[in-house]
Order: sequence, then C-alpha cells, then structure tokens
Amino acid sequence: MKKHAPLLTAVLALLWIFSAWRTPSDKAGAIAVNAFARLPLIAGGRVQPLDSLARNTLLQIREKQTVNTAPWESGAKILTASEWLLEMFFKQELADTRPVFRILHTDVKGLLGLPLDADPAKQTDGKHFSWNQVASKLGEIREEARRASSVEESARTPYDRALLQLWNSVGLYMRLQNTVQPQNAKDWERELQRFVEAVPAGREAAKAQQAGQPHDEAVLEKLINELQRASVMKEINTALVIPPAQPAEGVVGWMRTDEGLFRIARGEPVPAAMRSYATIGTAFRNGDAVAFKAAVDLYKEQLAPYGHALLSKCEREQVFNHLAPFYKATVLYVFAGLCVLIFTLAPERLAFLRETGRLLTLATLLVHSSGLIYRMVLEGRPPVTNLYSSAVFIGWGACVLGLLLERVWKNGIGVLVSSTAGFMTLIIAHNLALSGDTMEMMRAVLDTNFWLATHVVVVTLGYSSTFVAGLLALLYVVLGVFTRALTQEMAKSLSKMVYGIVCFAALFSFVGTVLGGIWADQSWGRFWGWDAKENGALMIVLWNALFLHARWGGIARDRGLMSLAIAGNIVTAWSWFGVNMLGIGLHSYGFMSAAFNWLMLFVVSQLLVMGFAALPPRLWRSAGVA
Amino acid sequence: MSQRLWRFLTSLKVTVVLLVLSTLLVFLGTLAQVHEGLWEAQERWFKSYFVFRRAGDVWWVPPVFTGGYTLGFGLLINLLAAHMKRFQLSWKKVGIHLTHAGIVLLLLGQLATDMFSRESFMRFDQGEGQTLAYSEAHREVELVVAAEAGADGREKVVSFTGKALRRKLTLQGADIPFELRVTEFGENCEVLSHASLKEAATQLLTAIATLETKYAQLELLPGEAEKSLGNEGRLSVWKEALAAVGEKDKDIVAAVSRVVGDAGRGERLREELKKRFKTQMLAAFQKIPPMQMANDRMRSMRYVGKELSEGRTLQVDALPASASVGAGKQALVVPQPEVRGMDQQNTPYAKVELLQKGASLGVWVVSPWLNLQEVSVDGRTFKIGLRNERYYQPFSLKLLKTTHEVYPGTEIPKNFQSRLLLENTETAEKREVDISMNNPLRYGGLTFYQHQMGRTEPNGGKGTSALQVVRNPSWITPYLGCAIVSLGMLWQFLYHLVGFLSKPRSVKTAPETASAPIV
Repeated sequence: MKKHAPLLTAVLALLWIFSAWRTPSDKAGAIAVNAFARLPLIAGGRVQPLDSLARNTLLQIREKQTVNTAPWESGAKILTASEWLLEMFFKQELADTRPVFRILHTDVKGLLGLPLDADPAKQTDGKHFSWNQVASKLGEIREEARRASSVEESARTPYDRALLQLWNSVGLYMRLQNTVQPQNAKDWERELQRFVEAVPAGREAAKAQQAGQPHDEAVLEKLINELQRASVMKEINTALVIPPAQPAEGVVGWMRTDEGLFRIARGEPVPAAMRSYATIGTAFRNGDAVAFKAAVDLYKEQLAPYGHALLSKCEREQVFNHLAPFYKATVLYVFAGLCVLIFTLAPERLAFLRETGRLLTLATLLVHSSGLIYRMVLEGRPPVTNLYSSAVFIGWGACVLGLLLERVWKNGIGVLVSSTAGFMTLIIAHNLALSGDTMEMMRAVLDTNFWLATHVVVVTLGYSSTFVAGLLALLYVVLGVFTRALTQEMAKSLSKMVYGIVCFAALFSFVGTVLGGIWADQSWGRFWGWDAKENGALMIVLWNALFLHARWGGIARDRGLMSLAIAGNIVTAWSWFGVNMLGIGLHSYGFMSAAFNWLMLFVVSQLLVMGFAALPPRLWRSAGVA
Repeated sequence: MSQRLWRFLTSLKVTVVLLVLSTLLVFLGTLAQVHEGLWEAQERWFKSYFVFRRAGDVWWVPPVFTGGYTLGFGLLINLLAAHMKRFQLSWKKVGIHLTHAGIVLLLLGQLATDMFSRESFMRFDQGEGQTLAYSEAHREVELVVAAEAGADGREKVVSFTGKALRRKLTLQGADIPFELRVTEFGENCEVLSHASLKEAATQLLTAIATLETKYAQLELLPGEAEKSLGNEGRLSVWKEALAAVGEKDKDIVAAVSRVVGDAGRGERLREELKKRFKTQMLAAFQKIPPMQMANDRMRSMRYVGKELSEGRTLQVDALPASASVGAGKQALVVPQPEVRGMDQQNTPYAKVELLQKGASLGVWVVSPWLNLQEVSVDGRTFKIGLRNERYYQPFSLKLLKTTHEVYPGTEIPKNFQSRLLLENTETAEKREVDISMNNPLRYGGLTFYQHQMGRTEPNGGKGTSALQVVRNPSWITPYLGCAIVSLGMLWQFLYHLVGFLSKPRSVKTAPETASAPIV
C-alpha cells in the first residue's frame, strides 16, 4: 500500500480537478442557468460570457464568486454567480434583498446606519448588506466619495478607501441593474412592446411639434418619458449586450440596451437581442423552465450569423471559470507542502511522504500549467499580461525550479520550495483578482505579443528564480538557527542550490531587463530612461551580480551569502510591487494600500531573518554551519 | 605604491562595493523621482559624479553620495583592470570574458547616448494637412530674430541659444542693425493678457461693490440672513460672524434681529460680515480646478484675487504691463517657480532691450506664449520672439490622417496611428508612411515615434498628432552589448550545468544523524 500511496494520491487529486473540465450542464426541468450564463456580451472592451461578468462583479463587491443568501445562519442557500446574475437582471426586488455588499469598516457602517455586529435576530452577520440597506443612503455615499476621491491616494485614510470601495461597488451593482432592461422595469417584455408601439405615433407628434403644427401632447410625452429612462441608463455605462444588426460590423458594432432604445425611437427595427432578453426575463420570473430554455436557445440561434468563435469563446471561458484551476492548485500546494514538512520529522520512516509530496506537487504543477495555457489560448496572449498573471507565472516558474532541484538533490527541499512559492503567489494572485477582470484588454503601447512573450516572460522568470534563491536561503537560516535539521551535508547542498539558482536568476533578469530596454527603444526611442520599473529590474540584476562576485571573491561566506540571497527577496518584491506604488513612471498602477502594508511586513520579516543569519554559529542549533 | 593601487583597482572587493553603491543609487534615484520629477532626478543622480544634499531635500537624501558617472566609470576601470591582470584564454573563461566585454560595451553605449542623443518633438497641432520640416526641443528655448523675406523668398532667421540668455549676454547677429541686451531671464512664468485680466478684475471689483451695498445698512441684515438659510456655505459665514459678536443662537434670523437692535453690536456684525464674505470671495477667485490650469481667464482670476487679498490695489483702466513696447504692452508676465513634475512644463520668458549704437529702442518681453513681435528699425521690419529651440530637417512630413481607436465600450486606447507624407527634395522621395505605437519610422538618422494625439477642438475638429523625434547615433550598442552578455552568460551557465550534471554524486535522502530527533 505504502508503495503505491504516493502515486494514487496524485492521480486522485488530478481526477478531482480535471473531472470538472467540461461544459457545465443544467438539471433537467430546472431553469437553464448555465446555458444562459454562456451568452456573450462585451465588457471592458472584450467578449466574455455573462458568467464572467457576474463573477468579476461579485469578486469586487463581495470578494467571493458566490452569494450566501443568509450569512447569519448556517446552512443557508448559496447562489452561484450566474444564479445571482439572473436575479439581478430579472428579479430585481429579490436581488435587492441579497446581502452582497461586503462592508467591514465601522465608520462606513456608521454612515449608513447599518448594524455593526452579527445578530441573527436582526438577520445580519454585520459584514454583508443588501442593496436595500445601502440604497437609502446613496446621497451620503456619493458626497463622501466625492470628498474622498479628491484626497491624494497615499493620504487617504482607511475610512476613505473603504468608502471609495463601496462607491465602486454601488456603481458596479447599478451597471448590472441596467444592463438588459431599465432598473425600475416591472414587466419589461410588456413595457418594451408598449414602447415599440408608441414610437410611430410619438415620432409623428414630434415632427408636427417641430414644424409648429398641432400634435398630440400626451403621445409625445409618453415617448419622451421612455427615452428619459434610456438617458439615465446611458449615464451608467453598462456592458454591451446587443450585437450589431449586421454581423460584419464586428465587436465595434455592439451596443448597450439604452442605445437600442434610442434606435427604436428613431424608427429602426427592434434588435433581436432586446426581445430575447425580455422573453428570457419573463420566463424566468414565471419559473417556466421550458420557455426559458427555448428563449435562450432561440437567442443562440440568432447569434449564429455572428460566427462560431463568439459562442465557443464564451463557452470555453465558462469552462475555465468552473474549472478554477488556480484556486484548486492553491489547495493542492498546501497538501504537498504539509507532506514534506511531516517527512522532515522522521526522514527515514516517512520517506513515502516525500514521494507523495513530490508527486502531488507534480500533479499540481500540471493543473497550474493547464490553467496558464488555457488562459493564454483564451486571451490569445503570452502568459503575463498584467500584475495578476505575473503572480501566477512567478509561482509557476518557481514551482518548476523547485522540482528541478528536487530531481537533483532528492531531499524534500525542492518540493518545499515549489509548494511554498506556488501557494504564496497564487494567494497574491487571488487578492489581485479582487480589483476586477483579470483578462482586461491591453492598452495600445502594450499591445504587442512579441515583447510580451519575450521581455515580460523572461523578466518574470528572473523574479521567479530570485525568489527561489531567497526562499532557499530562508530555509537555510530558519532550519539552521531553530532546528538541528541543517546538517553539514544539507548546508552544503543548500548553498550549492542557492548559487545555481542565482546564476540562473542573473541570466534571466539581465536578458529580461535588456529586452525591456530594446522594447523601449522600439516604442519610445530610448533604450534606457531610468523609469521606475526599469530601475527595479536593474536593481535585481545588480544584486545578483553582487551575490556572484561576493561568492567568487570569497568576500562573503555561507551565512553572508544567504543574507544576500534573502535581501534579493526584498529587491525583487520592491521591483515587482513597490515601484508601481510610487505614482511615477510608465508602470504606475497607483497606490495600493493593502499591498503596501503587506510589502512592508514582508520587508521587515526578511530583515528579521537576515538578523538571525548574522548570529554567530555557536548560537545556531544546527551544527552544520561554518 | 603603484602596486598597491593596482591591487586596489583590480580587487573584487571594490567590485562588490561598487555594486552595492550602484544598487543603492538606483534605489535612491528612483525614490527621488517622486519629488524631483524624472528629468531632474536623472540629471542629479544618474548623470552626475556626486550627489550633494541640498536645502529642502527629503529626509532620506544623504549628505553626499556617489553619482552615476562615478560608479559607471568605477565599474569600467575595475573591470578592465581585473581583466588585464587575470586574463587567461580557456574554454572555462570564455563565458566570463564575453559577459564582461558586453557590459563594457553597454556602459560605453550609455555614456555615448548621454552625450550624443537628442530628443525633440514634432507637433502637428494645426491638425491634418499640416506640413513640418523641423522638430522642437522639449525644454530648451531660443531667441529668434527673423528678417523680412529677401529676394530669394526665404526669410532669414538668426537664433540665440538659451545658454546665452541665461548668462544675460548682449547679442549681435549678422545683418541685424541692432544689439539685443538680455536684462532678465526666468525659467517659468505665466502670461496674462490684458483682456482676460480686465474681465477678471471687473468681475471681482463689481462683486466687492455689491457686497458693500448689500450690507450697507443695519436694516438690510435680517433680510439677507433669511436669504442665506438655504445655502450652507453662506450660512456658515453668518454663524461665524454672529459668533464673533457673541451670538451662538442656531436660529440666525432671530439672532441677527437681536444684534441689530443694539447699534454698536450691529455695526460690528456688519463689518464682520463684509470682511468674511470678502475673504471668501477672494479665496474663491484664487482657487483653480486642476483641469483648468491652462485657462487664461482662470489664471487671471487667481492673479487678481491674490493681488487684492495681499492688500494691493487694482485699476481696470490702468492694468500693469510687462513692457513699454510690443506685445508686452498688452500683457502681464508673472514669474513662476520652476516646476518639475512628470506632466508639468516650464514656460520661460526674457526681457530684451534693443540697442542701436548704444541708444535704447525699448525693452521687449518675449516668451513662447507670446507670438513673434514686429520691430521696425531703419525702415526694415524684424520679428523677435522666444520659442522652443528648432531643429530643421532636410525633408518634410505632412500629416495626412490620424487614427485613434479605443476598445468598444471603454476608454482604453487600442491604437494610435499617424499617416504621413514624407517628402525629400534632395533624394526626390515622396512616399506615405504610417507611424503607430511600437512601430516608429526610422529615417535620415532620426527615429519618429507616435507620442500624443488629440483634436484641434475638444469634441471634433481635425485630428492632431505629436511625434517624438530621437537622434541617437549609438542606438546599436545596447543591442550588441545585450547579445554578447547573453551569449557569455549562457555559455558559462551551460558549461557549469553540463559539468555538474555529468559528475556522479552519492545521493542520500536522509541526513547522517537521522537516528536523533532533528526538529
């Protein structure tokens, strides 16, 4: 049993994950939520399924991809993002009672007069609130948000930031409310029909009025009232849900529901998509699963002339959303890491655990890689396009390096590095995803797959390897100072590993940095402009060069070199995150307060370990260091 | 002694120290950009030998630090010396040699770039259809004197560099019948036209006069108080004024009626109100929303608001002027502190006295914000002015079409593109070219990059385009240097990796002291 357990564990893990690799189906006889959620729209400039819009919105306002309908009691019903979206579109009175606004800051709750603590009797968990609870104070939120947004980013108080976050959530929520119908519509199918019927008479009346002839005032007013609703929608800037009348117009021709309304008022035909969504809505409100499915299928047929690629892209993205490979990889990395940690307690007796950890990590790497490749195919882009994907890719690179180390040394260290780095970077990625769509379109200057594939990938591998070297050095110091596990042999192998990885890091960070310079020369006419991010990359190169020369010159010994490698973590984190927060240069993403606090914490922790490394060898518990 | 120096120069310890200092310098130079702006920080930290602490610096600036040139040359010397000492030709060392040779090339290339490269801009701000045969410097200005067109139909332009202006020299040019004596030069200013100044001053003075009549008599106060009830800003002024005369009642109308009953307190309240409302008004005039900084009228309002609040007087009929002749008669040039932010630009100005045989013809004020000004001397007409330095090219570019695309439903830019007609009479070339992001035009030793795009009017008009023009004769060095270093590192890396992997190793999964508990 013990012999086969490692392989069996890894295979089971893979089965668990890849069994979800299929188009999500709907239960027979129930509302076809998944079929609905596969329908296309354009948000943030790109084609995506409704499912993605729902998930990205929920991630931003609730920090989760699902809705707990009653978080104050256990076992309450959980809505998937798509189910919630259906309610948002077509049953707004119900949706407005769902506690989806996550509000933690006490003063913000105070401003809104919301309960501060969990109280099942009052049906609240003190953290999640519904639109109905928030909307009565919209005026106050708007005023405060206006004030807070005029404060410079780095000078904003936690309250200011929480409030702006809420304001953003309110905006996102209103977008969904107005995406396929005006937010106060009760029976949109009927209202739409009435509007369509009122148009000819209304247009006649308008023409007559302009010509100064007698006209029916009531008819004209009816038309104007409807158009006023459309004008309100226009302000809200929703996603584009109506494909152009002529498929040849392509993505540029897509429009919002309000635009469709204006076109109807100009006497143009009613876009098929508007009718379809109205019918789908009626069927959903009536709970008529058959009519719902029929309406969704009909709309799909209407979309057929727009090309197979449109629907298949949305379907693939929905599969990817359901597969959630990075989330599952995060969980698996934890198990892999635990296996190896337990293994170190009794390496001889528990050797099978190292093997389990190794195979589990290998399986996880497979999941991680599939996720990366799936994303690349979906986007038609190289792996790294933004901060989010850089985190995913750094973790991937570190995991590969760790497994290579394990292949050579076979002592569990490599697995520990792989699982730790994989886990940490995916957690970072998850938090970065909370700020919105992770597959956003690339601005003009970044819109070049050649440089994204070369410069960005290579420089990110440079980050990966510098972090791996730093992680190994951390292990060296922690094991050495606090445990007896750092034997002479182990110390020797660790320092060799660090050296090898730093060589690798020097190569990658140098080549990546220079490729960035060449890109800059191609785009702006200067190879080197001392831009903050360029400088960050240069610092990594210099630091790696420093490590190598210090080693070759015998200027630093093992402990000193380990400290240098740990400092490399700080340099890399600075380049990765720090420079983006200065608000200068070409890579400025603005000040991210949460990220800044974590960065500071990280720096302090690394300095602390460097402090331990500086302790004289007699204070180390392990005898392996010289 | 010389042996010790040689040992020092070739020492690896020196390398390590230089690398530590370089890392720190890059870090500090990046931080400095936040306060000093990119250009200034570059000049001060990277293109210098030493950085000295200045008054007004942020707390972390050290008293003195090594600048980019010192460290760059230091590394260069150290590298060359070390190679002279330790050079040996062997397969094992090929990688190291290549790497270092490439780095030498990169360092020298960067130095050459610093010395020889020049950046300028070609701004097609008249929109499509405009033809330009020159580019303009971003910061450097020149004083130009243009003579009337001669027999050949070309106007002759004599220009003087910004350096000469800063040194306040007296300038002479061939075929110019006068001398130009620079009496004043400033790096930044704003130019306020009399038209907008007059408008702003009239508005403010009228508002103040209205204030006087509104609170002229005690009886008027309760009525005014009542009118202010709906307006929070005004209400708070009333409350403050009432508090100043000892009234804290929340019902201000009642409070005012009470105060007015007592003539002494009433008078004091009247003065308080006038004073407070005036202050508020002056403050409102001086506040410009950041989006409107470039608006002449807004700046004029700020100027008159400031003048009055600092106790100076203003007369609409006799506005101050900056010069007794030329455009300066109708404008006021107000010196401003130099700006250094990323998106901020300085507008220099100069005062120039024209002298003919020692006799003054008057003092002209010149600035890029004022058009060229006509001067008549000896029956000939000249135009003088200050403008961004121009670099003429032997060919011209005509803007044919601009394309500015965004992703549907967003403001995210998808594509910027300028289509231009390139015309070179020397080579009889006449062809159309496209310049877009990541796709520059390289021609005549210059490279043209798509820089900015806009329209002649906020919502419509013709499309405008600005190209960045770079001359960099040493552009090839980083490409070569990079290739050589990469090759060297790869060689070294593979050499070691192959050696390492082919070496037989004894593999042990357990530490030697496995019998004892180890954690």
